[in-house]
Amino acid sequence: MMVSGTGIRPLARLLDKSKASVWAISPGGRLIYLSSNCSQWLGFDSALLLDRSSVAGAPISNEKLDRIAAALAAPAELQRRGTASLRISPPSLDRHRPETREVRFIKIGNDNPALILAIAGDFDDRLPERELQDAVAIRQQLDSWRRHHAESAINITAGTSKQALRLRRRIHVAASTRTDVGLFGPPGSGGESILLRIHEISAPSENLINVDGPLMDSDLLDATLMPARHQLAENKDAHVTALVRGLDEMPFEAQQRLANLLDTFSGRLRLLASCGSQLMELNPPTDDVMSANLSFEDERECGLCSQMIDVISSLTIVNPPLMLRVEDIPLIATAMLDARYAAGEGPAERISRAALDALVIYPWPHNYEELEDAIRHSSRTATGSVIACEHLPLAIRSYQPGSISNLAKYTKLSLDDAMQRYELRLINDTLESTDGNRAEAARRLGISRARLIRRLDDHSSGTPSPKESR
Amino acid sequence: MNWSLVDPSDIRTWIICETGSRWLTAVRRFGPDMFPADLIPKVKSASRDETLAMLSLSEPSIVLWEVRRDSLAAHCDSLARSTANNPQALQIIACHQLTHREQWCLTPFPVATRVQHPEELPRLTRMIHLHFARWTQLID
Repeated sequence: MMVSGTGIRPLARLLDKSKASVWAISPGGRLIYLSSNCSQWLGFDSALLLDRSSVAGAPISNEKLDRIAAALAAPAELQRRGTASLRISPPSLDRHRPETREVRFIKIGNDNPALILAIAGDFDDRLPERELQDAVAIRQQLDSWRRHHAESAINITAGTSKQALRLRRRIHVAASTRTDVGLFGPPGSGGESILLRIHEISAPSENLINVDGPLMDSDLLDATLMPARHQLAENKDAHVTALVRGLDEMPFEAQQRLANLLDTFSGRLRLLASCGSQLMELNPPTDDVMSANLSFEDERECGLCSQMIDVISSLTIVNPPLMLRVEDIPLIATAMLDARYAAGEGPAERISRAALDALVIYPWPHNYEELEDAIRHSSRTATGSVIACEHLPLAIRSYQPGSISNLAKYTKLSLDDAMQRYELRLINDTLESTDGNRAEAARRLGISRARLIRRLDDHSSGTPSPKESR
Repeated sequence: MNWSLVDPSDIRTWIICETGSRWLTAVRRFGPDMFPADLIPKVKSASRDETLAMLSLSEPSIVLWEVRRDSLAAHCDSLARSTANNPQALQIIACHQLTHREQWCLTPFPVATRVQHPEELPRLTRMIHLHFARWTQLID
């Protein structure tokens, strides 16, 4: 069929008639056209997606339509490469589950950024460089994570490790039950953002009172919770959540007072608390930090009184340190970068493999917050679409793992054995330098020939004589 | 590290045969935590010939071969020889650059596992523990 003219309407009509799903993304990263087949594919009127941001796979809000628009975004570095392919599985708006489709993205023209055209279909002509294949694989893993955990998709929970899986499951339970929650994790592990997300999902309309645990005594706690107590006393249908930071550093009398209040308003006053990592360390073999019976000394050590342990035992979440989730680091870092790119904070769309290696090797003593800082620094420093090693903070890019530091292993060291090995090496080296002449070797070592021979005999027979060696 | 201070029976060698230092850095970072508590990894970088020479000592050890497209044939030869030299060596292949078809060329060799990126190393901890436990039992 021939269509003449340069107007966009004939082209749009042809695209609408075709069975292909085609869409266009403006240079500003917004969806400006979706063919009629997109509606069939997605299961709703695709015009609803028009003018929504479609950048880097990261939605600008938690709204379902924004998430779908973000899933239609072009892969990293398309503006540089001109063309790229990606398998796309958009999230569903309702019960209809869109199938996964192979999509070819094409940049139109040489402007940067330029108009992008996306065509779904079957393509078998792509052979991008290995590094870009990795970037596409990471993007697909992130898309899958966003699709399956859309509501609770905070960057900390991204990943494929067992720890990530367990963390997501616990957050899901906490968000769907409105119960007291104790979150255990080291400093900098983003515990507060997890608790806030749990609150947003489980009880978005409920009042939230922030309590700074270490600063509290029972009087100050009463004063802080006074508005909540009034509200709960006046209205029997009212519910309030107390978000306590550093519960393990709150004085015991304040903890007991809080436990009493929770008991008084049974269920209507909910506790979301970050509890440090001490109790987790007291029960290392299991994820269930409440499994052990704690003695009074343990209570002191973990910083929680027994009443408070009873309260948070309803649900505990263990948020492991980043160094125990090494395999998740590329995904978490890329999710953080996606969010920054989508917010227009820098030109970088992806992290180079060398930079990812540097992130993986670094031990992250300050956990997720340090990684977030590193990604913020890198996205601001990067001048192009890729974050390379030189864009990472100095501490990370210059980190070199040292030699074996497990000093406990040296406790087995026997001084006599070490001395004998040293002595034998000296004798052998000297014998080698004298071409096997034992008398000359003994003279050089300042011992008698008989003693040298005895040493060699001892070592060859494996019967050390430590007394003589002194 | 002063190796003369360590009981030699506690030392297990982890040889890295690669171009560059990507895997050497990764093994230095993750290797100590992947070993059984009573063993100490001695991480060494070596050429193909040096690796084969070290493997001829017939001690339980680990070898990580980085296989690239341009050296695939040579590595197949090395793998065949190293297996014959020392069955006590746990052989790991790092093959980030290879296509699936090229990775198929490596399947006839008794390689314990293949890795693509450093973050995959900690997953091998259990396998390494089992490997050393098996050979320690046999030596006893």
